[in-house]
Amino acid sequence: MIRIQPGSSFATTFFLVSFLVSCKPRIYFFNVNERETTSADSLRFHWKVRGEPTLMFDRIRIASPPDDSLDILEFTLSVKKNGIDSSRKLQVVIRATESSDRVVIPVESLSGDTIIARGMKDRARWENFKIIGLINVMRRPLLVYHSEVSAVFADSGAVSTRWKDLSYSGDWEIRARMTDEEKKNHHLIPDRFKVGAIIQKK
Amino acid sequence: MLDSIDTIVLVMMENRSFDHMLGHLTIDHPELDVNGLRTADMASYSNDHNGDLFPSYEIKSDTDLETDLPHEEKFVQEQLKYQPVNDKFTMHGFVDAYVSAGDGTPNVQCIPMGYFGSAKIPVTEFFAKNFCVCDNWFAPIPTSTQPNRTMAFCGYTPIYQTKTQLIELKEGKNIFAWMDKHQVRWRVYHDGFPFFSLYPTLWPYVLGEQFSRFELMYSDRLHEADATAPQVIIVEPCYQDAPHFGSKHPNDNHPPLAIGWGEDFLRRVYQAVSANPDRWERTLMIVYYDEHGGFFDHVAPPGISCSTTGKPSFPFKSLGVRIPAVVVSPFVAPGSCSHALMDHTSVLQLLAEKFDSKKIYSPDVEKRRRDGIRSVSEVLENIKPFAAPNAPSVALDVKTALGESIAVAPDSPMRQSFEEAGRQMLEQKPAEVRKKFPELFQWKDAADKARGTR
Repeated sequence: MIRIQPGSSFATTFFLVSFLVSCKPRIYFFNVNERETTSADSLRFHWKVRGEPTLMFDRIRIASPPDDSLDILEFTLSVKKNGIDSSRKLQVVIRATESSDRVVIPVESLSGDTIIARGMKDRARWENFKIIGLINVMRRPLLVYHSEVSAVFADSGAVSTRWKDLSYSGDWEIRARMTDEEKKNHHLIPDRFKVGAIIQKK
Repeated sequence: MLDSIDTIVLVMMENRSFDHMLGHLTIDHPELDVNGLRTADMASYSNDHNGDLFPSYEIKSDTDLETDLPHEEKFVQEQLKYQPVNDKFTMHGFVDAYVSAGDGTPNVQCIPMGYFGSAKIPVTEFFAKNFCVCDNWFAPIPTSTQPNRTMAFCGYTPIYQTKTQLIELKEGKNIFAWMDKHQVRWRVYHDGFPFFSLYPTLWPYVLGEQFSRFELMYSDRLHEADATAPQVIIVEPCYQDAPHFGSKHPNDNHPPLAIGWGEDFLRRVYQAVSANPDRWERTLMIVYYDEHGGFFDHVAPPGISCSTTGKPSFPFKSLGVRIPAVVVSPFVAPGSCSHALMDHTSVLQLLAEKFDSKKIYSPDVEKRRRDGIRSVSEVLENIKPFAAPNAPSVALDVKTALGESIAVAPDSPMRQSFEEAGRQMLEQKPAEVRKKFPELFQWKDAADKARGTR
């Protein structure tokens, strides 16, 4: 066992190291159980900090282009120690019981004249939501695959309820035929495909 | 018009993109002929990640960020998000890269997608409104700080990424050797430990008389005789990643720094540059950034290729992401915008036009000129110089500043590189360091003691 004598050089170094290492605030982690929720739900926060924590929140409304907006609760965890601040923000989207959203996934490949987009809807964010219906929001016919169900959307605005009550999260695939202009000039092919969704908390 | 310019001033800041700093110009004033952000196009700027969209948004308060953003070569490729189907850089991968670098589930208002409105960047705004914005200026290569700064001041780079390293340059192939060869009077004003200290070949310059404290710039500009006044001035901010001792606060704008410190630094630089009205009338200053730092920009970079000179050589197939650049001078039209394609070697072209009889800086820079990179001289058009307008005097509102403890060894390649440079310089050139950077002795002793390595 090492006995530390006050005033010794070791003691000075030890206390100096301890003091300097611990003198500023730190947020080791700060998370919440849901990032998309409804006003009927509860939120549970977890954090580990060094310093004195304060949790603040604001309700903000942000634009969600092209034609939508989102209600957001923004939580700021601020930690103070020795007159220094450190902070981190978490945003949670507040949705109505039934609300609209979009699946937006990148174009991945071509198969003959067919454009294929593949991606996923984040499970961590969306696992508690189910689909009520899907809407074609692109100005072209689409073939949509999700959860082993597929459907053709012939026109812009076409609606399908084939996915009703299926989970919103997981893998998605959207296909479309190239237009004549796109066949002549691949630069015109869109970067990503999207489909509108009406969703509900499970 | 170049003959009327006696002083060229270069100020390179750190790690912000064009849209992040200047994109707001066309949201506030859609009539401006600047390739900034436009309200009608906001949907197209949104980045998609795991099926969700993350919009571009105005940052409401200037605080230290939670973290630095990813900006190494592999992350920049992710940010550019090349789409092989339509052969385009989509510029939709900034959130992907941010999540890849390890920050969990992103907020809807994700840090890389934020941009500043005019109120938070009053000095940058002042430059944009009173001088010439360059809205087609890209980092030379799609990678991080060390290679891009090397390109900026050498015209080539032996390295392709930033890591813990001191950088070896070809003998005599750097901006200082070039200026000496062309008998150009030059000076570096550094606010703290210079970035050029990462190049051992340049230590004779760094430890010499031509590297001068930033605090001396104002009085030099006011009082120094024309015969000795420098024709080229490089101004270095206080780097976030460099060792600090005392009360000096980093002001290079490198995340996670709040932006207010850098704005104040730019104000002080401008005040020094414009202190002497006669000198101002013959001055051209370029304020630019080394690379985009991981922040979003909506303009795809041109496919101008470049390979590193190191072994093995690393090929780049495009320019890097667009950066903020403003030419501050009475020789530009106030409130103008240049769309000429530029990168950092445009500055080297300018120097060649001014100081070389053949107007060629080097074969590497000449190749980039043939590939389409224009010279900064293309923005000069104002024949009658005007008096320097006063910089805004508003107090800059920085919410928080985090102090760094020297008891903790640095954990990033840039910080480790700076510290290694300081230590090796102390070991190999103690007499020169005692004259030039005496604070390094005290810093090393205090750090070693605090870390228990002494």
